[in-house]
Amino acid sequence: MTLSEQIPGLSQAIEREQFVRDSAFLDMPETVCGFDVKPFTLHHVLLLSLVGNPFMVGGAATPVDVGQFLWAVSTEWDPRAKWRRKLFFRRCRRINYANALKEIEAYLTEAFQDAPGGGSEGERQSFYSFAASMVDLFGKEYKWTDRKTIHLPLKRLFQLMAVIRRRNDPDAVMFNPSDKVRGDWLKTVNGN
Amino acid sequence: MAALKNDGTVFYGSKVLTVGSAGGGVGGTTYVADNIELTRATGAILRTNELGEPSGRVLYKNDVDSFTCTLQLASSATVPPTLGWEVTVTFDATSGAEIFYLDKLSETFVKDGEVKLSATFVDKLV
Repeated sequence: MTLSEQIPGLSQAIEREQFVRDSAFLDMPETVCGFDVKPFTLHHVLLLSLVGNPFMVGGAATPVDVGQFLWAVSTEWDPRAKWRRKLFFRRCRRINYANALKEIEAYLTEAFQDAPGGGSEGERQSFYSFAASMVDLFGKEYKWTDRKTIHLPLKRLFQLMAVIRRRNDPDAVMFNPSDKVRGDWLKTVNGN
Repeated sequence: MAALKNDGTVFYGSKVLTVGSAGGGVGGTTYVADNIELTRATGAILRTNELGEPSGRVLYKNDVDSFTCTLQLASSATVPPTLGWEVTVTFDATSGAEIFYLDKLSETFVKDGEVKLSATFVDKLV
């Protein structure tokens, strides 16, 4: 008996994660709160972290933070287009705040679904940024420029990181979004 | 071991394992094991003729069978398995159900509340 036959909902969860993985390579359009947005990139992470947006640095997001997030990932984003930015924020006033939080969370969950997990043995000291480690990895592996890595969808980069990791360490511990379905099933079976 | 064909995303190399301190892991905790790599250890004796050309070969068991895998725990509240805990696994019809015990464990890795670790099990000889 396969795991999919044993664990209810597992095959559907695998199909969902596979769809996100495949579509990440097709430049398919994405929409959040009715706005056309670009796939989430390292550029967006850096931009939103620098301005202290709560979706990146943590904390409760206000409607202004929602607008700031949507503007940063929007296909209309341009740091010099001040008038366009003003019109965009005016359109943001019409969106439902509670729905916006849910949609942004779903958008980010998809973007980070293949991000590597971490060891649980305490914190590790950091000597460089998350961006530096990714730029270095793809520069070394594929000879990519900083710019190329920074502007590619994270959904693609995390999958490629998984491929590189598996190539270098076939026994590496890896995670899938569908692991949650397995974890929930294990809790039921083990009675905890 | 690689599958010659994997149609429909079958979890090749994955199994549900019950690992515990009792004989054969009976009544233990359930884990999902991925990336199972089984090693049937053998050695060979080569017989050669007067010119050093091979004329015969004997294959024999020279080590204990073992398998490595990644174990998924139910949650961070689940007790990780302990070295020496046993498990009963059937890899093929010829060997049937076999008992292995936990020989090596890695640190635990966590992502979004899911917990995994690397483990090595070796065949219980007696």
